[in-house]
Amino acid sequence: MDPSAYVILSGILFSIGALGVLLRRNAIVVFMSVEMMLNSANLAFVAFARMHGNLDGQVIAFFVMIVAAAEVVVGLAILMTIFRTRRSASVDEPSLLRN
Amino acid sequence: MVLGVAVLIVASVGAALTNSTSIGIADANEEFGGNVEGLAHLMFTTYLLPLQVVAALLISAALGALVLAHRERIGERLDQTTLANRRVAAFRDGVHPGGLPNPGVLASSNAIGTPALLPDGTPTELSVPVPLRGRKAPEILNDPELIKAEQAEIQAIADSKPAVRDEGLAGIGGHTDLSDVYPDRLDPDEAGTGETELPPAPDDDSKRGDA
Repeated sequence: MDPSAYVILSGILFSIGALGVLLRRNAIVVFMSVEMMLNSANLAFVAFARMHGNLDGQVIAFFVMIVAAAEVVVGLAILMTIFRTRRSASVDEPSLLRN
Repeated sequence: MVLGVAVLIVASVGAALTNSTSIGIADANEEFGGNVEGLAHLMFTTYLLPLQVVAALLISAALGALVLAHRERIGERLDQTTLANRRVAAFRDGVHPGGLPNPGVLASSNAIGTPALLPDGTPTELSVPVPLRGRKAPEILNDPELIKAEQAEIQAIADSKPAVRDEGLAGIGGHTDLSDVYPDRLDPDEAGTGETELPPAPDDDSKRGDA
């Protein structure tokens, strides 16, 4: 089976995730979009590992998963603190540092 | 900018896929006897340092989440004494501190929609779950004749005598004529608990003498 279709799919998924990060204002949806970008990178890693015939891509996909878990843990904790003080999960509102 | 990113992604994917032939991962898996073994070999030789760094990152992320999500207690802790005092204070406003009655108490059926009967024989809506309330018996509740008939039936059960069932009570669910169901139990010669005393209704003491 030709893995190039997986690379194209990962490009599409990455584009959707990037659009979500840029366009959406709810912080949770932004987080989901970031996760989608990370997972599309994982898909590309695994597809290229199959294409090139070595296992390094799979190991790096494993590391990307761990980093994604750490990122979402800290990110959701920050989001919870912001929501507790601000009663909102919008990414546009926390602009108090601007002044 | 979105268009630029799209062009970039399409171009890079296209460049990566042109003139590429897929080797397949079977040979790489066979080298150490399997996919998991090959991954383990890579992870503990070539990628040993990244593995350790990532482990430290994961632990510090968990600790950071604990610190960030922690908050001090805002109000005083609600202990058992406080809650009991609060219930007693609510009782002064009419909220009963005890549990609600179970459905079907003193009635001839304990189906969930059958209201429990108060000691004066009137059904109480408090025993019926909220979604089922108001489906039956409100119009029956307001009829003094039927209430009296129900009281007579309850008293007859308490006296262990077969009750003469009023025709109007046929519509109340769960209140069947017990003499058909338990003819032995309602045998007046056999029963010895004729003097069952009914406690007064909590909200209406005037009906006590009637029942």
